[in-house]
Formats: sequence, C-alpha cells, structure tokens
Amino acid sequence: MIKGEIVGLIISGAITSGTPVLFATVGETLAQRSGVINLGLEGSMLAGAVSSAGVYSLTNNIPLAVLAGAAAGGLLGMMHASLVVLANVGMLASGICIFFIGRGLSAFLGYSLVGTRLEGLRHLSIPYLSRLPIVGNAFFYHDALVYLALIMACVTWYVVFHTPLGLMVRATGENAEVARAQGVPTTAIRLLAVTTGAALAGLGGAYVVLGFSHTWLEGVTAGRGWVAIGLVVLARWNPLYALPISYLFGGVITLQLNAQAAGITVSPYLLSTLPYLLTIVVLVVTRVWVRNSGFPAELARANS
Amino acid sequence: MSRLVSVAIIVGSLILALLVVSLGLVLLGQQPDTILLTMFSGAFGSFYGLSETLLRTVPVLLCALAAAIPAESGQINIGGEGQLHLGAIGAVLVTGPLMGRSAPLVIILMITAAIFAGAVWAAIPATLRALLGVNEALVSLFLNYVAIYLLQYLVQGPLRDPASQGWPMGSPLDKDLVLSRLGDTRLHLGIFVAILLALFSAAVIRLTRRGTELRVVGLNAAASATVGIPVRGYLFASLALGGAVAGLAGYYEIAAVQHRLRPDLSLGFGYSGFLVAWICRRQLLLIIPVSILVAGLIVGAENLQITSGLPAATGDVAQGFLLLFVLLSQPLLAWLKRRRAIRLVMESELS
Repeated sequence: MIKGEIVGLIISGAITSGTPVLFATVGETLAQRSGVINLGLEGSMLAGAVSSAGVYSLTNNIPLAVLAGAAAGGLLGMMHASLVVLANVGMLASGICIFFIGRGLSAFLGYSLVGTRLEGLRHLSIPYLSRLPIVGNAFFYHDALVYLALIMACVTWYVVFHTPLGLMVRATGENAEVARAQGVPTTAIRLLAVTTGAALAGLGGAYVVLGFSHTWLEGVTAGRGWVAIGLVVLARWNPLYALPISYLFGGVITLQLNAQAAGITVSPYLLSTLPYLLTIVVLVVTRVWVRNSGFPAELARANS
Repeated sequence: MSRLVSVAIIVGSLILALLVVSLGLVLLGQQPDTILLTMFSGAFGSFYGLSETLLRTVPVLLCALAAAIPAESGQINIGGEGQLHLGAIGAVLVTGPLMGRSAPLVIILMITAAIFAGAVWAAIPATLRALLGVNEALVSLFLNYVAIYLLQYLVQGPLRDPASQGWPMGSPLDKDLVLSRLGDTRLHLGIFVAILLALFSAAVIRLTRRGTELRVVGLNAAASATVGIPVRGYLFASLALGGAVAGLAGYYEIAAVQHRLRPDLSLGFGYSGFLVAWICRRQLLLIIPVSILVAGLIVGAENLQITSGLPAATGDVAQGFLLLFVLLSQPLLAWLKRRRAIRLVMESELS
C-alpha cells in the first residue's frame, strides 16, 4: 500500500516536472522540422515565465497569464525566425543572441516580482478516474496545463505528419530549395513553425511559474530549454515520442528530489547528466547507423 | 572586409545596443543616463573598476579563443562553458594527491591538468566530428550541462569541504597555490597570458603554413582533402586546442579568483566568449578589445546591481543586442554591395 502510494507520487511528479520540458520539446521539434534550430528556447521559456507571472500578479487571471506567456515566448521566436529566414543570419549565433536577450530581459522585467507568491494553477479531479487507487493520483489529478501539454503534443504530431501544412513543414526542413520549386512558401512556413514552437516553449515557461515554483526567480526555468533541444534528438523529431521522453526526464528530476526516499544511492547530480549523455549517444547512432532517423536534412546547414 | 569596417560595425552595434537598452529603461520608468553612467563608471571609470574589468576579461578572452580557433576550421564550439568547468575540476583534483609538495611543482601540474582536462572535454565532440561527422556544436553544448552537474556532484559529495557547513563547496586551496595579485586589485598575471595567447594564435593562424591550411579547411573541407591537407587532423586539433585554452580559463578562475570549487564557478563566461568570437568573425585580433568590452558590460552590470539593485542581467540584454546588430550588419553590407554592383553595371551599360 505505502509502496504503491510512493510509486503514484513519483509518477505524478514525473508528469508535473516533465510538462514544461514537453511543451518546449514539442515546440523545438516543430521548429527543427522546418529546418531551423532555435537555441534561444531557454530565452523563450524565461520570457514566457516572467510574462505570465507578471500578468497573473496584476490580473489574477490564469488564461490571460498563460496567453501572455505564449505570446512572449512566441515573440522571441519570431525574432529568431526573422533573423534566420529574412536576414539570413546564422541560426546558432542568432539563437545564442535570443537566449541572452530573453534571459536578460526576463531578469530585468521580473526583478520587482521576485518573492511574490503566485497561487497559480489548481489541480483538477477528473470525475471517477481520479478516485482510482494509485493511478488516480498519478494520472488524473493534475492541473489544466498538464493536459494541454499532452493535447499539444498530439495535435502537433497530427499536424506535422497528417496534414498538408505539416507536409509543407517537413518538405521545407528536408530540402528548402526543392520545396520552394514545388511552390511551398518556405519563408512563411519557417516563420510560422519557429514562432509557434517558441510560443509552446513560452507556455512551458508559464507552467513553471504557475504550476510548479509558484513564484518568479531569475532563471527560474533552470535550463529546461536546453534540455528540450537534446530531447528533440532523443524523440527523433517526433512530437509523439516527445511525450514519454519528457515524462521520463521529469521522472529523473523527481527521483533526484526524492532520491533518498526512493532508496536510490546514485548521486542525483550524476543521474541528471544521463539525458545529455544519452542525447549524444543518439546523435552518434543517428549519424552512423540509422538511415531514417527523422533528422531534417536542412539542419545540416547550421554551421554556415 | 577590412578591419576598419569591422571596427565601425562593432562600435555602431554597441551604440545601437545601448540605445535599445536605454529605450527599454525609459519604458520601465528608469533613468537611462544615470544607469548607463553607473555601468560605465563601474567598469572603466576608476582604477579598481578597470582592474575588475580586466579580471573578467581573462575568462571571456580565453573562452572567446576557445570558440575562435575551431571556427577557423569551420567548426562551432559552444562548449567553452563546460571546458572551463573541466579545467577548474582538473586543476583542483591534482592538488589532492600532491598535498605538501613544493608549490611551483604543484602549480605547474595544476595548469597542465586544467589544460589537459579542457582539451579532453573538447576532444569528445572533436573526435565525433572528425571521424563520424557528428555535429560538434550540439555535442559540445550538451557536454556543458554534463560538466556543470559533474561539478555539482563533486562539491556536494567527494570534494565537499567538511568545514563548509551548509554551503556546498570544495576545500580552499593552499595559500602557496593561490596566484598573487597585482597591487590592491584582484587582477592577476593571467590577463597578460590571455592577451599573449590571443596574439600568438592570431599570428599562427595568419602567418604560418599550418594556419593557412587550417583556414583552407574552414573554407572548403572537400577541396582541401583533394590537395592532400589532413582535414580530420585539423578539425580534431583545432577543437581540442580550443578546449585546452578554455581549460586554462578554469585554472585561473580557481587559482586567482575563487580559490576553491563552488557551484557558481562561471558567470556564463563560456557563452560570453562564444558571443565575442562570433562578433569578431574573421578578425581574430579584434577579440582582445571586444573581450574587454564585454567584460566591461559584465562588471558594469554587477556594479549596477550593487548600487541600485537592478539585476546584473542588464548586461546580458546589452550583450545580446550587441551581437544581434553585428549579425544584422552582415546581410545589410551584402545588400549594399549588391546594389553598388548593380549600379556600376547599369552605369557602364549606359555610357
């Protein structure tokens, strides 16, 4: 019984701490599917976090705060996309730029918010299901954004793989010249994909302050944006695979916080390096053995 | 592009970046002139401020070199932050078994270990890139996080100072191993080493046959392979060398600034260095003044935090926009050039 409860708590924690990463991973997958790497993701998350914290503390309105987070994240993403697509600036340098601007601006705009307690999101009980033993608490007693992240992952997957728009996104990411010759508006597609992706990252940032830390701190997203860039590779550029991978990552974080209670003797800090090491392994495997990894070929132009 | 144009672009971008920051400050109801003045006087306005700026220049300049050397061969090293961390860890780790040996010997071994550790950390992406063609930018970036967690693990666990009470940090260095300071400042001889290294790298890359071959690899790897240049060797060596230089930065942070391992070893010097290297693309010598400038932004922002409570991240915004405008100048220049070319053609056809 007790053991079951602990398992339930860990699963619940894994889903909660995996959610912001899931938002960001799905967003970055969308951007990279169109052939643009966005290293400014952490900046977008921070911008989203500070905006939703600010709007929430002013209005006490959660939907408005969440929207503000998405808008702020998307704005930085649009900046990145414009630099890369319209001004032909190198995508890695532009991303680092956006990261600096997002981190700096969020710290600056948020300094009067530091220490303000934000009530934020409340958990919703899904009728009947949430009363099930163990599973109920683990899966069916979360706040609305957790479910939104799940839905966004599925929607993004559907759009990317099963709609004409998604086909255009993938074609742009595979070979922009050929896509353009076929009449795909590659510039518009990239602007759209990167901006939407960054808006999703902004949602992730909003979730961090509204559902998680319940306060704004400088750098509150703690590198989750960078993690997401790695998880995109692990998920093989598929939003659906991003689901289990993000929750698994959330599980590692949860175990890290409750390592002793869970009877784990490995250092939580060493455990935290696993996602990154695994990502590197996947990058190598992808490069050497796998033919159809999902790697959008246009990403190879990142170094130019 | 001539060096004069590059300097003009950087100065112009700096002015634009400061204008954007001022505009933001006005919108927030702050006084931009006093804030910018506080930042400037904090970084360059006094002898002590200047010494602090040069103190921060050491890691920024070394990390800029760590990105700039591999950039000559067409590679992107975002891993300066992690390589700096490994350098610091390596330098501290060798002091353990050498406890009580003569200080000069230990210092030499600390420097060697730091350089070696940084190089090994960079050798991971370098090997994967040179042999398998794996993207070195992503691998070096992910290794930053591995390095940061490794440091956390060490200061929370095996290397934790028992006397540190609640704070996770390593044991302090022996007094003889701490680098001496210049006068009343915190500045140390590392600044001269960093500047000399930058000059030396620029000379090797510009003036020697190996330097030329390195640049040829960067311009066209496929073509250089056909004329017999060992492309893989250059790719590996330049990235590993970059890591070695960043490792040296880690040594200086430990031996001259922090005197022990702490979780907050770096103020993001690796990323600032990357930014500097990108600003000075194809103008290696400019990296020295631009590093001083960026270090000044870091110190000025710290000063701002101390005097007026505004977050030090103001410096990040300025750095971000500085790079942004430099990046934007490239397509602008290309556009101007194209227009001039078109005009020349039209004029010659008309006459």
